[in-house]
Amino acid sequence: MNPEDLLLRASTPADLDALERMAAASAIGITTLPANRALLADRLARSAQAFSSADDASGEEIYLFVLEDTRSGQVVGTSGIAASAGFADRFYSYRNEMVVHASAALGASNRIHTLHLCHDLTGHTLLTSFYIDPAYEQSLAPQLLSRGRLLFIAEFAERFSDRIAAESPGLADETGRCPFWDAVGRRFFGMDYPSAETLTGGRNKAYIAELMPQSPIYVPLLPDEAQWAIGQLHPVAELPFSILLDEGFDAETYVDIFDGGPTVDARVALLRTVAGSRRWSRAGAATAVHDSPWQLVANTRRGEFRVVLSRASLDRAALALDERSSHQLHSAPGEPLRAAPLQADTGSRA
Amino acid sequence: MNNTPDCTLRDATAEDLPALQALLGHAPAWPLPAGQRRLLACDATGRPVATLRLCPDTGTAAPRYWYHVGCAVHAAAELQLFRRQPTLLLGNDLTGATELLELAMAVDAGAAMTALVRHAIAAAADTATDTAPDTVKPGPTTVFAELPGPLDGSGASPFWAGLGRHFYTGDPRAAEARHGDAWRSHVAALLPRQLVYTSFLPDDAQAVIGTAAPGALALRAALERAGLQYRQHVRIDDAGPVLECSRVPGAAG
Repeated sequence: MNPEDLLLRASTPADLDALERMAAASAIGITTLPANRALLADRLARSAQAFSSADDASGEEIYLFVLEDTRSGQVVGTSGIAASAGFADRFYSYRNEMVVHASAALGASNRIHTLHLCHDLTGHTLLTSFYIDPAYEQSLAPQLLSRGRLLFIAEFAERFSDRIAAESPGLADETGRCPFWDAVGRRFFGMDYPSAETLTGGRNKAYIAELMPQSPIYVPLLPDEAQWAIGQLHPVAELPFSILLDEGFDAETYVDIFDGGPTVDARVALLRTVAGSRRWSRAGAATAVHDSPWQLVANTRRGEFRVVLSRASLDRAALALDERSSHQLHSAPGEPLRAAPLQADTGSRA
Repeated sequence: MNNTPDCTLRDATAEDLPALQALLGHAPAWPLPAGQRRLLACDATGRPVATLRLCPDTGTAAPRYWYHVGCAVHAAAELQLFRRQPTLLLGNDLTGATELLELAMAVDAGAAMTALVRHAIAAAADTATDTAPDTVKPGPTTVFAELPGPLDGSGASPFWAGLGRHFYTGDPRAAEARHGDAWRSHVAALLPRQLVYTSFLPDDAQAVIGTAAPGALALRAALERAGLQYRQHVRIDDAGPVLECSRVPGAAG
């Protein structure tokens, strides 16, 4: 597969069939991609509105992107952004905290791991809904799918928070057995994890989080299996998670209140792709540039946002795109572009 | 004393020590610290059959801790969900109260013990030094006695195994042997300070909260006849119940 065949673009309502197929294939835990055609259609409509609206951002927007293999015309992945986590309500997380209990008389001092229900991430921009066709995992496609979103955030920063977070699914099996949920949530809900997922899917988690214990959870009181699950990833999430860690997200502080999966957070400006991106004017003449390092190159149109991988050549003033990338981006000469190097060191060859 | 005409209630003297040792199974503290009293109930022959130590101003020298057993409700009408469960909160609620401790009685001396406890409740009004009204500080107007919680077949407390053990890995009996009753004040520094939902504890630990050991049931009955009641406080190590009453004037009847 040629990376230049890949196109990340704003989704449209016409992507419903592809999205439904991916939602059915994605694991338990990707709550923002419900396997429900009506909910997905609604999601696409909201996304189309967010991309094209002339209004100022309210924070309610969700943006869904799809990754297309332009060779086949097939949609092979999706990713999303929620402008403001917990919009109009609260976004719940557990925050890891350590307390030290000590008794000099007994000669004992213990670090106790506790989980505090918190709203710290409310209002943060949230990366959501990552799914890629397994056939494309071992390529540059996941990089484009995940990081292309960050170019959108960098370009339209006024529509997003300066803080960003992303949830990852925690440990659960196909039958819905989830060690963290079974030790924590189940005691307060009396139902299994998929049932709770169904109840929260498509709406704010706050609805159900209010039923969770409001006092800190003392981790030593949980069964071993549940303790081990805290901050552990579902294997299906390893790839997108590693991309986020490479971007500079921190995975130490927060975990999901339902399955204990890690919730990463960062300052947007410090993310590698955002910090490394800049606006370029496009050089008039498209030339063959086969030996330049890979760049993530985006157009700067909100309503028709597109990102490609290209070996664009850069000089001080302008970015030269080959004809194919230029065509994929629907980019006109003179129109500004936003680009970030695929690799951290711009001098290296991909 | 009105319903136990054949028993005499009095303070212990040095001459009572051998009989007290037989009753308690260990040498009684003697002489007592200032403000404390050792009370006796003696049968018609003058033999001590019940004893206790009256200790005012509990926890005012070194802090004392108990769990308060409360209740948390998690409800969602939309889910037809309504769940309530007990909670444990560590606190010093009974600070300043009068404690009845080192209680012991002969077999079938329950009536004598009840009379002795009534006598002690009345005496508590004379020994307590803190006269703040109970709306300001609830502790000082309370008289209480702790009862041991049950142990399992191996001599360990299921409650300790379910909760305390996770916060202090040492042997509680070794710590008690070394530090005496003060070990509970020491170990409290290691225990959870925030609310603990009891559903996080194993079933056998939940089951014994507020339950007295079988060997203490006769004593519990004697204390309850004297007007002491379980008011949602338990010991922090074995969750044995704390029985309490208010030392209102005339409480001795």
